Formats: sequence, C-alpha cells, structure tokens
Amino acid sequence: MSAPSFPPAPAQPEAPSGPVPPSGGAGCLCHDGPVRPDIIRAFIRGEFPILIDSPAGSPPPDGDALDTLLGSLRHTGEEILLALSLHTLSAYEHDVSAAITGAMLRQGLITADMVSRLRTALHEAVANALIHGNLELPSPRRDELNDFVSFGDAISARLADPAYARRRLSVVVCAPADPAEGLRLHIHNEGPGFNPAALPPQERRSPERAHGGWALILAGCDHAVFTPDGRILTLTLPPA
Amino acid sequence: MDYTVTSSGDTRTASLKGRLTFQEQRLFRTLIEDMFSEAAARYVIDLKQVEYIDSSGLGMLLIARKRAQQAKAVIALTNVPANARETFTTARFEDLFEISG
Repeated sequence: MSAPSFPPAPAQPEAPSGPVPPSGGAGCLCHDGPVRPDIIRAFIRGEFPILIDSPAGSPPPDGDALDTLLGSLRHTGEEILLALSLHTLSAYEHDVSAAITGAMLRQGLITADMVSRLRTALHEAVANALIHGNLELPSPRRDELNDFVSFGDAISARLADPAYARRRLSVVVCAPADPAEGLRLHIHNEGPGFNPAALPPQERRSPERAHGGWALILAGCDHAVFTPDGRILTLTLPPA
Repeated sequence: MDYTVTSSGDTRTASLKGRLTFQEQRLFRTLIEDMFSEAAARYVIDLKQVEYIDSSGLGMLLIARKRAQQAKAVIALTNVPANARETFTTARFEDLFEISG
C-alpha cells in the first residue's frame, strides 16, 4: 500500500482549499501533522480510502509503524473500505462522523436516507471513544450546569496533555466476506479500556436515559458491540 | 455554536446557531446564564439555524428545562431542523418539551 505524505500543516487554522496532491490511487494517505479541512474534504471525495495523521511535530507512521497501525485496524475476514485514523486533538476538532458518512455516501455504501441516523450514531460513538477512552474522563451529570462547565475544563486540560492528546482515534468501515452480514464500522480508541459487561444492556428502553449517547448509537445501527477490553466498538449496518 | 437572546413581552427567546455538541460545553454555561438572567413567563429556544445536536446538546436543553421549571415558567423548542427531530424522537423529547415548528 502506497503512503504518500502531504507537506506539514500551514500556520493558518483553515488551509485554502486548493488542489490536493494525488494519493497514488487506492491507497493510504499519511498526513504529516494534524489533518486539515481540505484533506478531510479530499477523503470524502474518495481521493484516498485511508487517511492517517500525526500530532504536531511528529512524523506520520511509515514502514513498520504504518504496518503495525494498519494491522491493528484490520479485522479478520473483513475488507477495509474506508479508514480514518487521527490523533485525539485532530479527532476532537474535526467532524469525524460527517467525514466518514460523507465518504460512505459518496462511495455508495449507504443511501442518503441512512446518513442522518448513522452520522448521529457514529458521532456519539466517536465522542465516547474520545472522552471516555482516549481522554479517560467520566460523563458529567446531564442535568447539572456546573458539571458541564467543569467537564469542559477537564476536556481542555486533557487535550493540552500530550499523553492523552497523542492517542489515536480510528474509524474503520469494513465489508465482511459475506455481504449478507452488512457493513461494519469499528471505532478504535487507545484508552485503558473498560468492562463492557458493566453497560446496562437495555439502556435504550429507559426513559430517563433516552437522551444518552448509547440510545442514539443503538438507534442508528442494527447492533453495537464492544470488544471484551472495551477499546473497540463495532456498529453493524443492515445489508443493502 | 453561537446564540442571541432577545425579550418580547413575557417571552425570552434564545436563537441558537451552529452545532450543539460535546465540543461546545463551555458555551452552554453562558447561554444558560444569559437566557435566564431576566425573568420571563415563557422561554423559547429557537433551533432554526442549528446544524447538529448530539447527546451533550440534548443535555444542555434539559438543563434549560430544569431552570425554567425552577422559575415556574414554560419552556418550548421551536423550528426544530429535520435531522434534530429524529434525535428528539429517539430521546423522547416530545414528552419533555413543548415543540413547535
């Protein structure tokens, strides 16, 4: 798999959307530094199916490091159709769920009527992976404003700490060998993990928790299952 | 996210713009404080220009509801975008808020 690199990100927050260097066909684009909006747009347009960035000041993974990363994203018996692997700060700043669902729609993997629910489910899954996984923060009490404020402060503090901000958040869209099994989206984080058995399985049916992220995840897919270590959440979509 | 708060008669309206997501936690505080800085019989949150709401945004709306209840006032959501309406249905917000438009 080819791994061309873009030049480092410019100083301005939003790079002008000029032509994007060719990716060498169906390959992996490893961006040197935090990903920019124009690179995300190129991913959505289908110019490369795999996009990997790196924290500021760090080179993108290549050679053995890239093989190791891609190997960790592969799931047995599945073909990778799309993958976005960003460090936590990038994933926090960009709309990962819009990028993935936009690219899926562009490739014909989903229909327009599926986008809204899937985007919501994926957004919640990504938020959980970032906040509870990579940043290791608990949820605030949703009816307490002071909790919300201190939660925002805690997020900022963790994002400023390289030990947390450099962790990766990866979303991988895969096709199982049997098309009847539908598409799968795997959301990987690099946090310490947790015990998925502790999650209330019927949370969706609980009126007082119906506004929680888990309810929105379940509403947007057929199944949502964590790996036993809690670091990968897999959303399964119905077959086309 | 951005917002403006206006008063007209007994109604105080917050018009929100942009994304109500977990990345906007800090703005939630100023929004709630601005909205409830003046007493009103009715508080309205206008979502016409909201692009996206996630579970954190829903939580913010629930905090506004709690504040309105404490003030013995009515709270309503208006101009709910189509994509948010689906989220509201999942979250059963129809049972919690007066929703119009």
